[in-house]
Amino acid sequence: MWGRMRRGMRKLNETPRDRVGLAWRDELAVDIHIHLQDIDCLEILADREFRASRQRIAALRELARQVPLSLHSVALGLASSEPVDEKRLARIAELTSRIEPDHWSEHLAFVRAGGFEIGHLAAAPYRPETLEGTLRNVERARRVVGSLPHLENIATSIRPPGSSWSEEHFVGQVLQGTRAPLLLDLHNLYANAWNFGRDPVELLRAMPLEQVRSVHLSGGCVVRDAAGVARLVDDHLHDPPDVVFDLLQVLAANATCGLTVILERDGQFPDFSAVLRQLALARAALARGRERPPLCRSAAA
Amino acid sequence: MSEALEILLARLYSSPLEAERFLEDRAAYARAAGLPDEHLQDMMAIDAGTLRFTAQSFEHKRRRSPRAGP
Repeated sequence: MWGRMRRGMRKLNETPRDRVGLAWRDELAVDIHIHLQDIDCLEILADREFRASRQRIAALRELARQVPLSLHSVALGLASSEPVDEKRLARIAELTSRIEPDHWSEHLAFVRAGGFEIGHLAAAPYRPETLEGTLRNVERARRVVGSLPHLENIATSIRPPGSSWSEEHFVGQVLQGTRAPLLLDLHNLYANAWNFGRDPVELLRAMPLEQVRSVHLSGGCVVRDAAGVARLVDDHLHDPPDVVFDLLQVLAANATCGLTVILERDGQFPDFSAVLRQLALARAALARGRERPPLCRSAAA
Repeated sequence: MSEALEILLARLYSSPLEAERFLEDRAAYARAAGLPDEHLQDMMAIDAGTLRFTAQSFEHKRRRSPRAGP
Protein backbone atom coordinates (compact mmCIF):
# COMPACT_ATOMS: atom_id res chain seq x y z
CA MET A 1 0.00 0.00 0.00
CA TRP A 2 2.80 2.45 0.99
CA GLY A 3 4.59 1.73 -2.28
CA ARG A 4 1.47 2.54 -4.21
CA MET A 5 1.00 5.79 -2.24
CA ARG A 6 4.63 6.80 -2.82
CA ARG A 7 4.23 6.15 -6.54
CA GLY A 8 1.00 8.21 -6.50
CA MET A 9 2.70 11.12 -4.70
CA ARG A 10 5.62 10.99 -7.10
CA LYS A 11 3.13 11.20 -9.95
CA LEU A 12 1.53 14.28 -8.39
CA ASN A 13 4.90 15.97 -7.99
CA GLU A 14 6.20 15.15 -11.44
CA THR A 15 6.40 18.01 -13.90
CA PRO A 16 5.03 17.00 -17.28
CA ARG A 17 7.67 16.74 -20.01
CA ASP A 18 7.34 19.69 -22.37
CA ARG A 19 9.08 20.09 -25.74
CA VAL A 20 9.84 23.32 -27.57
CA GLY A 21 10.69 23.54 -31.24
CA LEU A 22 9.70 25.15 -34.48
CA ALA A 23 8.04 24.70 -37.82
CA TRP A 24 10.41 23.54 -40.54
CA ARG A 25 10.89 26.01 -43.36
CA ASP A 26 13.50 25.43 -46.06
CA GLU A 27 14.80 28.98 -45.49
CA LEU A 28 15.77 27.90 -41.95
CA ALA A 29 17.13 24.45 -42.84
CA VAL A 30 20.83 25.18 -42.35
CA ASP A 31 20.30 26.92 -39.01
CA ILE A 32 17.95 24.18 -37.82
CA HIS A 33 20.60 21.54 -38.50
CA ILE A 34 23.32 23.61 -36.82
CA HIS A 35 21.20 24.20 -33.71
CA LEU A 36 19.37 20.87 -33.57
CA GLN A 37 20.60 20.34 -29.99
CA ASP A 38 18.55 23.41 -28.95
CA ILE A 39 15.41 22.22 -30.71
CA ASP A 40 13.25 19.57 -29.02
CA CYS A 41 10.81 19.01 -31.88
CA LEU A 42 9.96 20.04 -35.42
CA GLU A 43 6.82 20.40 -37.50
CA ILE A 44 6.62 19.72 -41.24
CA LEU A 45 3.94 21.26 -43.44
CA ALA A 46 2.38 18.16 -45.03
CA ASP A 47 0.89 19.87 -48.06
CA ARG A 48 4.32 21.04 -49.22
CA GLU A 49 5.61 17.47 -49.21
CA PHE A 50 2.91 15.82 -51.35
CA ARG A 51 5.19 15.88 -54.38
CA ALA A 52 8.46 15.49 -52.50
CA SER A 53 11.21 13.42 -54.08
CA ARG A 54 12.19 10.05 -52.67
CA GLN A 55 15.41 11.59 -51.34
CA ARG A 56 13.55 14.35 -49.53
CA ILE A 57 11.14 11.87 -47.93
CA ALA A 58 14.13 9.79 -46.83
CA ALA A 59 15.71 12.92 -45.31
CA LEU A 60 12.48 13.77 -43.46
CA ARG A 61 12.23 10.19 -42.20
CA GLU A 62 15.80 10.42 -40.93
CA LEU A 63 14.99 13.75 -39.28
CA ALA A 64 11.97 12.14 -37.60
CA ARG A 65 14.35 9.60 -36.04
CA GLN A 66 16.54 12.37 -34.60
CA VAL A 67 13.83 14.64 -33.24
CA PRO A 68 10.06 14.25 -32.64
CA LEU A 69 8.39 15.40 -35.83
CA SER A 70 4.79 16.43 -36.35
CA LEU A 71 3.12 16.48 -39.73
CA HIS A 72 0.87 19.51 -40.11
CA SER A 73 -1.92 19.50 -42.66
CA VAL A 74 -3.74 22.65 -43.76
CA ALA A 75 -6.33 21.78 -46.38
CA LEU A 76 -8.40 18.74 -45.44
CA GLY A 77 -11.37 20.84 -44.40
CA LEU A 78 -12.32 18.70 -41.41
CA ALA A 79 -14.69 21.19 -39.75
CA SER A 80 -17.36 21.07 -42.38
CA SER A 81 -20.66 19.45 -43.14
CA GLU A 82 -19.06 18.41 -46.46
CA PRO A 83 -17.04 15.19 -46.53
CA VAL A 84 -13.31 15.48 -46.10
CA ASP A 85 -11.14 15.63 -49.24
CA GLU A 86 -10.32 11.94 -49.79
CA LYS A 87 -7.39 12.53 -52.15
CA ARG A 88 -5.64 14.75 -49.65
CA LEU A 89 -6.42 12.31 -46.88
CA ALA A 90 -4.79 9.51 -48.85
CA ARG A 91 -1.71 11.69 -49.35
CA ILE A 92 -1.52 12.41 -45.63
CA ALA A 93 -1.81 8.68 -44.92
CA GLU A 94 1.00 7.96 -47.38
CA LEU A 95 3.23 10.65 -45.88
CA THR A 96 2.68 9.44 -42.33
CA SER A 97 3.53 5.88 -43.30
CA ARG A 98 6.70 7.00 -45.11
CA ILE A 99 7.98 9.62 -42.63
CA GLU A 100 6.64 8.07 -39.40
CA PRO A 101 6.05 11.33 -37.53
CA ASP A 102 5.35 11.54 -33.82
CA HIS A 103 1.81 12.73 -34.66
CA TRP A 104 -0.13 14.65 -37.26
CA SER A 105 -2.43 17.63 -37.04
CA GLU A 106 -5.09 19.56 -38.92
CA HIS A 107 -7.26 22.63 -38.37
CA LEU A 108 -10.86 22.91 -37.26
CA ALA A 109 -11.67 24.77 -40.45
CA PHE A 110 -13.41 24.46 -43.77
CA VAL A 111 -11.47 25.41 -46.89
CA ARG A 112 -13.94 24.62 -49.66
CA ALA A 113 -17.64 23.95 -50.22
CA GLY A 114 -19.77 23.29 -53.26
CA GLY A 115 -16.73 23.48 -55.53
CA PHE A 116 -15.66 26.93 -54.25
CA GLU A 117 -12.05 26.88 -53.00
CA ILE A 118 -11.43 29.46 -50.30
CA GLY A 119 -7.73 28.69 -50.48
CA HIS A 120 -7.26 29.22 -46.77
CA LEU A 121 -8.70 28.35 -43.39
CA ALA A 122 -12.21 29.59 -42.68
CA ALA A 123 -14.44 29.05 -39.68
CA ALA A 124 -17.59 27.11 -40.53
CA PRO A 125 -20.79 28.01 -38.66
CA TYR A 126 -20.57 26.81 -35.07
CA ARG A 127 -23.75 24.74 -35.07
CA PRO A 128 -24.89 21.13 -34.64
CA GLU A 129 -24.80 20.27 -38.37
CA THR A 130 -21.17 21.37 -38.62
CA LEU A 131 -20.37 19.37 -35.51
CA GLU A 132 -21.93 16.23 -37.02
CA GLY A 133 -19.92 16.67 -40.22
CA THR A 134 -16.74 17.34 -38.26
CA LEU A 135 -17.17 14.19 -36.15
CA ARG A 136 -17.69 12.14 -39.33
CA ASN A 137 -14.66 13.71 -41.00
CA VAL A 138 -12.33 13.25 -38.04
CA GLU A 139 -13.39 9.61 -37.72
CA ARG A 140 -12.81 9.11 -41.45
CA ALA A 141 -9.36 10.71 -41.09
CA ARG A 142 -8.54 8.44 -38.15
CA ARG A 143 -9.49 5.36 -40.15
CA VAL A 144 -7.52 6.32 -43.24
CA VAL A 145 -4.40 7.72 -41.55
CA GLY A 146 -4.41 5.29 -38.65
CA SER A 147 -4.36 7.85 -35.83
CA LEU A 148 -6.36 10.82 -34.63
CA PRO A 149 -5.06 14.23 -35.69
CA HIS A 150 -4.29 16.92 -33.15
CA LEU A 151 -7.07 19.44 -33.94
CA GLU A 152 -6.16 23.13 -34.10
CA ASN A 153 -8.31 26.18 -33.34
CA ILE A 154 -8.18 28.83 -36.06
CA ALA A 155 -8.17 32.61 -36.20
CA THR A 156 -11.16 34.27 -37.83
CA SER A 157 -11.96 37.91 -38.53
CA ILE A 158 -15.66 37.16 -38.86
CA ARG A 159 -17.92 35.37 -36.42
CA PRO A 160 -19.18 32.55 -38.65
CA PRO A 161 -22.66 33.57 -39.86
CA GLY A 162 -25.32 31.10 -38.79
CA SER A 163 -23.50 30.15 -35.59
CA SER A 164 -25.63 29.09 -32.67
CA TRP A 165 -22.67 28.29 -30.41
CA SER A 166 -19.51 30.05 -29.26
CA GLU A 167 -16.14 29.00 -30.66
CA GLU A 168 -15.08 27.39 -27.39
CA HIS A 169 -18.33 25.43 -27.13
CA PHE A 170 -17.88 24.13 -30.67
CA VAL A 171 -14.24 23.16 -30.01
CA GLY A 172 -15.26 21.48 -26.75
CA GLN A 173 -18.02 19.50 -28.46
CA VAL A 174 -15.67 18.35 -31.23
CA LEU A 175 -13.03 17.22 -28.76
CA GLN A 176 -15.59 15.48 -26.58
CA GLY A 177 -17.00 13.66 -29.59
CA THR A 178 -13.70 12.67 -31.17
CA ARG A 179 -11.44 12.34 -28.08
CA ALA A 180 -8.79 13.94 -30.31
CA PRO A 181 -5.95 15.96 -28.76
CA LEU A 182 -6.17 19.75 -29.02
CA LEU A 183 -3.44 21.70 -30.80
CA LEU A 184 -3.99 25.09 -29.20
CA ASP A 185 -2.75 27.98 -31.31
CA LEU A 186 -2.30 30.74 -28.78
CA HIS A 187 -1.98 33.56 -31.30
CA ASN A 188 -5.15 32.41 -33.08
CA LEU A 189 -6.88 32.45 -29.71
CA TYR A 190 -5.46 35.89 -28.91
CA ALA A 191 -6.48 37.26 -32.33
CA ASN A 192 -10.05 36.05 -31.87
CA ALA A 193 -10.18 37.55 -28.38
CA TRP A 194 -8.77 40.84 -29.70
CA ASN A 195 -11.12 41.03 -32.69
CA PHE A 196 -14.26 40.15 -30.75
CA GLY A 197 -13.50 42.19 -27.62
CA ARG A 198 -12.91 39.28 -25.27
CA ASP A 199 -10.44 38.62 -22.48
CA PRO A 200 -7.85 36.18 -23.92
CA VAL A 201 -7.21 34.49 -20.56
CA GLU A 202 -10.93 33.95 -20.10
CA LEU A 203 -11.17 32.49 -23.60
CA LEU A 204 -8.16 30.26 -22.88
CA ARG A 205 -9.73 28.96 -19.68
CA ALA A 206 -12.96 28.20 -21.57
CA MET A 207 -11.10 25.83 -23.90
CA PRO A 208 -10.85 22.10 -23.02
CA LEU A 209 -7.34 22.48 -21.59
CA GLU A 210 -7.22 18.89 -20.33
CA GLN A 211 -7.02 17.78 -23.97
CA VAL A 212 -4.22 20.13 -25.05
CA ARG A 213 -1.16 18.18 -26.20
CA SER A 214 0.45 20.65 -28.58
CA VAL A 215 0.71 24.40 -28.97
CA HIS A 216 1.42 26.87 -31.76
CA LEU A 217 3.06 30.24 -31.15
CA SER A 218 3.16 32.89 -33.85
CA GLY A 219 2.67 36.57 -34.46
CA GLY A 220 0.58 38.93 -36.49
CA CYS A 221 -0.18 42.57 -37.07
CA VAL A 222 -2.99 45.06 -36.70
CA VAL A 223 -4.51 46.28 -39.96
CA ARG A 224 -7.34 48.74 -40.57
CA ASP A 225 -10.17 48.06 -42.96
CA ALA A 226 -11.60 50.67 -45.36
CA ALA A 227 -13.80 52.07 -42.59
CA GLY A 228 -10.83 52.41 -40.23
CA VAL A 229 -11.76 49.49 -37.99
CA ALA A 230 -8.63 47.85 -36.56
CA ARG A 231 -8.30 44.07 -36.73
CA LEU A 232 -5.55 41.72 -35.59
CA VAL A 233 -4.43 39.40 -38.38
CA ASP A 234 -2.51 36.19 -37.67
CA ASP A 235 0.07 36.44 -40.46
CA HIS A 236 3.02 34.35 -39.18
CA LEU A 237 5.32 37.16 -40.32
CA HIS A 238 5.96 38.75 -36.94
CA ASP A 239 7.39 37.71 -33.59
CA PRO A 240 4.91 36.33 -31.07
CA PRO A 241 3.80 39.20 -28.82
CA ASP A 242 4.49 39.04 -25.07
CA VAL A 243 0.85 38.19 -24.37
CA VAL A 244 1.26 34.89 -26.25
CA PHE A 245 4.02 33.84 -23.85
CA ASP A 246 1.83 34.97 -20.93
CA LEU A 247 -0.94 32.73 -22.29
CA LEU A 248 1.54 29.85 -22.59
CA GLN A 249 2.39 30.30 -18.92
CA VAL A 250 -1.30 30.17 -17.96
CA LEU A 251 -1.76 27.11 -20.16
CA ALA A 252 1.23 25.34 -18.60
CA ALA A 253 -0.20 26.04 -15.14
CA ASN A 254 -3.46 24.39 -16.13
CA ALA A 255 -2.43 21.62 -18.51
CA THR A 256 -1.88 18.21 -16.97
CA CYS A 257 0.05 16.64 -19.86
CA GLY A 258 3.34 17.44 -21.50
CA LEU A 259 3.06 20.04 -24.25
CA THR A 260 4.72 20.04 -27.66
CA VAL A 261 5.22 23.73 -28.42
CA ILE A 262 5.94 24.83 -31.99
CA LEU A 263 7.02 28.31 -33.06
CA GLU A 264 5.58 29.13 -36.50
CA ARG A 265 7.01 31.60 -38.98
CA ASP A 266 6.14 31.78 -42.68
CA GLY A 267 8.28 34.71 -43.86
CA GLN A 268 10.25 37.86 -42.96
CA PHE A 269 12.56 35.48 -41.13
CA PRO A 270 14.65 37.12 -38.42
CA ASP A 271 18.22 36.20 -37.62
CA PHE A 272 18.22 32.69 -36.16
CA SER A 273 19.51 34.01 -32.83
CA ALA A 274 16.12 35.76 -32.50
CA VAL A 275 14.36 32.45 -33.20
CA LEU A 276 16.41 30.78 -30.47
CA ARG A 277 15.54 33.63 -28.09
CA GLN A 278 11.84 33.01 -28.77
CA LEU A 279 12.30 29.31 -28.02
CA ALA A 280 13.98 30.33 -24.75
CA LEU A 281 11.05 32.62 -23.93
CA ALA A 282 8.67 29.71 -24.53
CA ARG A 283 10.70 27.44 -22.24
CA ALA A 284 10.75 30.12 -19.54
CA ALA A 285 6.97 30.61 -19.80
CA LEU A 286 6.43 26.84 -19.51
CA ALA A 287 8.73 26.66 -16.49
CA ARG A 288 6.93 29.54 -14.74
CA GLY A 289 3.57 27.88 -15.42
CA ARG A 290 4.72 24.48 -14.22
CA GLU A 291 5.96 25.99 -10.93
CA ARG A 292 2.38 26.58 -9.85
CA PRO A 293 1.01 23.98 -7.42
CA PRO A 294 -1.11 21.17 -8.93
CA LEU A 295 -4.28 22.38 -7.15
CA CYS A 296 -4.05 25.67 -9.05
CA ARG A 297 -3.47 23.74 -12.25
CA SER A 298 -6.65 21.74 -11.99
CA ALA A 299 -8.81 24.54 -10.57
CA ALA A 300 -9.18 26.38 -13.86
CA ALA A 301 -9.03 23.45 -16.25
CA MET B 1 -29.12 22.93 -44.32
CA SER B 2 -25.77 24.01 -42.94
CA GLU B 3 -24.21 22.73 -46.18
CA ALA B 4 -26.01 25.39 -48.24
CA LEU B 5 -24.81 28.04 -45.80
CA GLU B 6 -21.22 26.78 -46.05
CA ILE B 7 -21.41 26.81 -49.85
CA LEU B 8 -22.60 30.40 -49.87
CA LEU B 9 -19.90 31.45 -47.41
CA ALA B 10 -17.21 29.67 -49.45
CA ARG B 11 -18.46 31.52 -52.52
CA LEU B 12 -18.19 34.90 -50.77
CA TYR B 13 -14.83 34.13 -49.13
CA SER B 14 -13.31 32.90 -52.38
CA SER B 15 -13.91 36.20 -54.23
CA PRO B 16 -14.10 39.81 -52.98
CA LEU B 17 -16.11 40.54 -56.14
CA GLU B 18 -18.75 37.98 -55.15
CA ALA B 19 -18.82 39.48 -51.64
CA GLU B 20 -19.58 42.90 -53.18
CA ARG B 21 -22.29 41.46 -55.39
CA PHE B 22 -23.85 39.82 -52.34
CA LEU B 23 -23.78 43.10 -50.40
CA GLU B 24 -25.60 44.91 -53.23
CA ASP B 25 -28.72 42.79 -52.69
CA ARG B 26 -28.24 40.19 -49.99
CA ALA B 27 -31.64 38.51 -50.10
CA ALA B 28 -31.73 38.16 -53.88
CA TYR B 29 -28.15 36.88 -54.01
CA ALA B 30 -28.71 34.38 -51.20
CA ARG B 31 -31.95 33.05 -52.69
CA ALA B 32 -30.38 32.75 -56.13
CA ALA B 33 -27.55 30.77 -54.51
CA GLY B 34 -30.10 28.32 -53.08
CA LEU B 35 -29.92 29.36 -49.43
CA PRO B 36 -32.96 28.16 -47.46
CA ASP B 37 -35.04 30.95 -45.89
CA GLU B 38 -34.12 29.75 -42.40
CA HIS B 39 -30.58 31.08 -42.95
CA LEU B 40 -31.57 34.33 -44.64
CA GLN B 41 -31.52 36.33 -41.41
CA ASP B 42 -27.99 35.09 -40.67
CA MET B 43 -26.81 36.49 -43.99
CA MET B 44 -28.74 39.75 -43.59
CA ALA B 45 -27.03 40.29 -40.22
CA ILE B 46 -23.45 40.15 -41.53
CA ASP B 47 -21.54 43.37 -41.00
CA ALA B 48 -20.60 44.63 -44.48
CA GLY B 49 -17.17 45.94 -43.42
CA THR B 50 -16.28 42.66 -41.73
CA LEU B 51 -17.32 40.62 -44.76
CA ARG B 52 -15.33 42.87 -47.12
CA PHE B 53 -12.29 42.64 -44.86
CA THR B 54 -12.60 38.86 -44.59
CA ALA B 55 -12.95 38.31 -48.35
CA GLN B 56 -10.02 40.64 -49.07
CA SER B 57 -7.94 39.01 -46.35
CA PHE B 58 -8.47 35.57 -47.94
CA GLU B 59 -7.59 37.03 -51.33
CA HIS B 60 -4.38 38.48 -49.88
CA LYS B 61 -3.48 35.17 -48.22
CA ARG B 62 -4.12 33.22 -51.43
CA ARG B 63 -1.69 35.48 -53.29
CA ARG B 64 0.94 35.39 -50.56
CA SER B 65 0.83 31.73 -49.67
CA PRO B 66 -1.30 29.37 -51.74
CA ARG B 67 -0.81 26.66 -49.13
CA ALA B 68 -4.41 25.53 -48.88
CA GLY B 69 -5.14 25.64 -52.58
CA PRO B 70 -6.52 22.77 -54.63
